[in-house]
Amino acid sequence: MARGFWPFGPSATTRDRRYGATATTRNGRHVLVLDCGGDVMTASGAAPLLEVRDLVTSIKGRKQDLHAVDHVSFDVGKGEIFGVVGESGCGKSMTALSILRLIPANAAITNGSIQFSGTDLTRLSNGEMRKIRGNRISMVFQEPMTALDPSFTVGTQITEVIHAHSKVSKDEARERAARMLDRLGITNAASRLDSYPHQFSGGMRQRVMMALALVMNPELLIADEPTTALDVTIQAQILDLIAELRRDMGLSVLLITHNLGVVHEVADRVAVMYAGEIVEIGPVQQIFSNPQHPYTQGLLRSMPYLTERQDRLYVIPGRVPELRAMPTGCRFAARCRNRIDICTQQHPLLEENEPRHALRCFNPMPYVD
Amino acid sequence: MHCAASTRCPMSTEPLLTVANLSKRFPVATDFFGRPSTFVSAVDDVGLQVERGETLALVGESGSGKSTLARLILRLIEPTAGSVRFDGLDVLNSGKSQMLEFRRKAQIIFQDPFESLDPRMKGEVIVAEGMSQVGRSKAERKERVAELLDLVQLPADAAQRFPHEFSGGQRQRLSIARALAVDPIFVVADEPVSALDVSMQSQILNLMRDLQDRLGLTYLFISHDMSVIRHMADRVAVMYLGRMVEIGPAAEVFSNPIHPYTQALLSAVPSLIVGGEPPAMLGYEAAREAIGECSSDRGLQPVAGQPNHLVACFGQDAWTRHRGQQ
Repeated sequence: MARGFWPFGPSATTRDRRYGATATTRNGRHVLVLDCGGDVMTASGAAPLLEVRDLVTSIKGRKQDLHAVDHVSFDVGKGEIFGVVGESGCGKSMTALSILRLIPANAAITNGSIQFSGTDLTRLSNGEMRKIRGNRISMVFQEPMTALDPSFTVGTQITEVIHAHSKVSKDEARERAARMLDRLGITNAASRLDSYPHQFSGGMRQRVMMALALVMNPELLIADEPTTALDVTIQAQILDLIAELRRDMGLSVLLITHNLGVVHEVADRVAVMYAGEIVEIGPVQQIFSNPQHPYTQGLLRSMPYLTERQDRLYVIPGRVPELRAMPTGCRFAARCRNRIDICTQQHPLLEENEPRHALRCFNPMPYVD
Repeated sequence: MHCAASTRCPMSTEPLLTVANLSKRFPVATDFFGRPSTFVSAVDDVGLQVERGETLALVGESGSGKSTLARLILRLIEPTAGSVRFDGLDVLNSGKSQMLEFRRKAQIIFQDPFESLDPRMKGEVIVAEGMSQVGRSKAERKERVAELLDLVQLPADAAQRFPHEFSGGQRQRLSIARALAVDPIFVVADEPVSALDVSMQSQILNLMRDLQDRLGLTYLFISHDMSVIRHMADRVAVMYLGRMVEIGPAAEVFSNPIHPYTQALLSAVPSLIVGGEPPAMLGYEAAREAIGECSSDRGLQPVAGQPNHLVACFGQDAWTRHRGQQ
């Protein structure tokens, strides 16, 4: 089976033939940028499983609605691991929650569409959404301790998901749960079904969380900071596991993290978010070796080296603008070392500067470490 | 690492902190009568020294005992055995007034600035709280708070704000100001940046280095992130399952890691040396066996050609090979 992730996916032409043209081409490239209110960036050589277009998620404010996610567009291909990085409050988790329609009660999706294999998730009823959630799209949360219910055994929690989505006998559900735990590298899976979450270590608990998410064989896994609460060595194990599941099950993954190292390790493409918007998007290799947006460059520059001791670490000056006081121009302008006049006057669009690589910047500069 | 028994004893002045044979066992199960029957050795026979003005970094996975060791050193928990000497004071056998002086000199910054600050206290109350214990007047305290906020680069109005009004990085600045309020000479930083974003992380690390230069602080810096350690540490101590497995100058440990566990941490590959299962799940003896730790305890031995770089014995074969190269 052809694995549809960059750079090994089928070419644009075969994709168009097989799945029907999902996008028109511009300038002969199979990456295109549409300007329709926001900016659209369809992506890699893979057939998109998830297409997020112009997504706006607003939070009800006292005076005005605040756009936590502001005209965000991206694709996740079949079998692709797509990373979203950014700092706390940049809207990356809100994007994930919007896809699953799990946003808080005071927030709402006010614009855009979320196409998931041909269905617009924003238009589904709550009942229809429930059939997809945990079944075809599932999510792994950051804190494995708080996301699992301490008063039920792991087995009960996993079989609950199975029973919610399929008509199977109790024994069969148990067997499936055990198989899943076993698949995720938990030894004595059948007997560990009767253990409670506190009887597992952090890394094992995160595996249980993943079993819970994967037991229905979803097409898309949304992993929100899946390794943040874990040790380095356990972190590496979980990342290996994600890569392995993609390889064996053709799983697509939307990986949300603030850790650039994690993205570099496993993702195929990455979107960098800042103040609710995507500021740079492209294949991981390109973004890491040749970041174009000053914010991405700043993030990379501020990481300490493993190999030598620096005198000082780079610091991005200033701070993230507040949602209720977004500047009219570029949102990063106040902190940017490449700022020119236009930056504070006009809002830049997300435009491609090389194939598959787009950024939102009027004055990009080459990256110097 | 007894001073008398080794050549690594500092030449003239006494180190700021000397820890010897420190152990802590926690009861994990009780018998029929409620008496503790099984113990886990969180810290097992650890010795180390910290010189004035240096940064010693402790690294290891959760469960390796690094946080427990830090708390033992500060006497926030009582050890099962061992001794702690700090600035001429026998910390574990000190009376109340001596302890008060010790508490002033040795401070701690915790990992999670969201949980370590009282949400009902304003910035100035948080920072000034410790000062009342060391006998400063109200006016002095107010003046000092302003000074400290400036020192950690917080705006002056931070004094009137509550913790929830700060960002993660600002809260960590506030914890640093709180720790520095009583003019400590020694600061334990327990994972001070692991809850922060990359951009905040670099700010806090820079600030901590600046403060060290300006105030001549000595740090015991705990982290599980090797690149953060590289940036901060003068010397590195690697902990594994409650024991110290390697200690030495940062440059040497990073360029020439000897112990398999240190190598695993640095290579960022999964720690398959213990079969993928977290060590604590296996039982300590089994996990130690898995990395081939010697049954006969030989303590830490110097690495060939690097007298300040010590490593624990790790498997007879590998050890013999290593010694054979000398």
